[in-house]
Amino acid sequence: MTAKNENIEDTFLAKWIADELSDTEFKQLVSEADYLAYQKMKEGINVYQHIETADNDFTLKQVKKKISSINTKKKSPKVISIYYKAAIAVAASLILLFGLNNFFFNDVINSTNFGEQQTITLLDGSEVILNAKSSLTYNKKDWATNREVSLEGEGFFKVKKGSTFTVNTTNGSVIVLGTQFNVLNNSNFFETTCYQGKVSVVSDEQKFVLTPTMRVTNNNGIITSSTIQPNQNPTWIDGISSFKAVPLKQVILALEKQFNISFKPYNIDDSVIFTGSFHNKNLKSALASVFETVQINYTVKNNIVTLERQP
Amino acid sequence: MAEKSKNVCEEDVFNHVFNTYIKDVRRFIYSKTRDLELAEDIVQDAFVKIWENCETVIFAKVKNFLFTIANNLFLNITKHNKVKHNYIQNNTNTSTNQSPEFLLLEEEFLHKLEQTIASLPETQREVFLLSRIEKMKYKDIATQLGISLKAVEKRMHKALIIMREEIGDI
Repeated sequence: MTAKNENIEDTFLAKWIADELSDTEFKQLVSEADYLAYQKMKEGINVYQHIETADNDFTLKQVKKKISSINTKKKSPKVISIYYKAAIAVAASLILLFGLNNFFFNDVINSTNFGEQQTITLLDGSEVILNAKSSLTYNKKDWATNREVSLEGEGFFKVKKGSTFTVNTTNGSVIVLGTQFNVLNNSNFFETTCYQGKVSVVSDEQKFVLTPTMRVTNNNGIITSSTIQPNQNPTWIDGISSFKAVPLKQVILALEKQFNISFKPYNIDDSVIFTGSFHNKNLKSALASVFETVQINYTVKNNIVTLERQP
Repeated sequence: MAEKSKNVCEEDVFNHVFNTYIKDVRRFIYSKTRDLELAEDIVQDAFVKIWENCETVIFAKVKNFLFTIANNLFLNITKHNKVKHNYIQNNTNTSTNQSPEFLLLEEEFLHKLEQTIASLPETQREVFLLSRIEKMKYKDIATQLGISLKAVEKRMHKALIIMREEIGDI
């Protein structure tokens, strides 16, 4: 509040821009045209301040992070095929593979191929059903005392009651004592759904506790929670991939994993939100059920799909 | 190295493109939305897309391409989500009833504003930047510059009058 007897005729603009003078008081000191011009200037100066003080190093770092996760996604499928012929089958459900980066002798790695599903029984009787193009890694030596696995892709877990059971992914971890839940992790998309019991999820330093039908999603740093229809297990186990309000990019990834197709670089916006499903058995009907609902034209040739926005 | 043969896929070149145009892209996006988080996302994604298309980008046309991508990203997001448009949030005491479009901040306006600030007389520019960019209080600026509080306020007042005259009527 300005004192009544203070002469502000050569300082009132300074006071107003620093919010020491109210708009009402300011309006009385200038013409209508000036008032509007100064208001616009004030907003412009605000924007100017944001631009000048923006942390461009941080932005560049984030840009590079996004770029490298695109790179990683392109590289990973090759690792397994190179060493597949040297693999030794130890038991029906266990395959030993040599990872390129980490060579730990007691590490057990299970992976699925395109369109494949696999049920893995762990050393304590816990079960994991892996969806297509996914992998599960754990240390068999440590298992009795430390039930910890690493997951890439998607898996449905049925954990036997016991010591803490942890699922680690690049974007978050899931911790339980004994329960049933689904975890999906693809580059920047991490989603956990609880089907039975109680599940503790940690992602980007935030912690959530989920009960049945609850789901938490971390989409590129944006975390949301939602609920699903009550169900015994995820629909993909029965051959139907379903999605509730996820970016189209994730649906495209799922199509690639189920059908061993690849999408030509496309110009369409894949952050569009999609709700719907496709059957895992038939490529043509799967593509139709996805793309016809979002007005995108598609053509398939030799397992390569081209997408185009409908005019 | 001839300009036309610079390859944007190379990290050095990409970094150079980023540093050269980051402010321009920000200004462009901020003229369309005041949602800071959204703006940051669009700015980042625009540069990511430049990199994704680095093989087909001609170095000389990078700025155009960047702006086109940023614009498309903005349009696609506004189509599918509810976005806070570039309407000025008026202060609580104002009684103005101007339509929002009138107070839209055009990119040219922001550019002109920047140039006006850069060409202010040194003594006024100094106070303006300390107050509006560094967010210092007038009394602290007075202490820092060794002048009176009233002197600081006078300089700021003068700066704004000059800017108003330079920018003219909108």
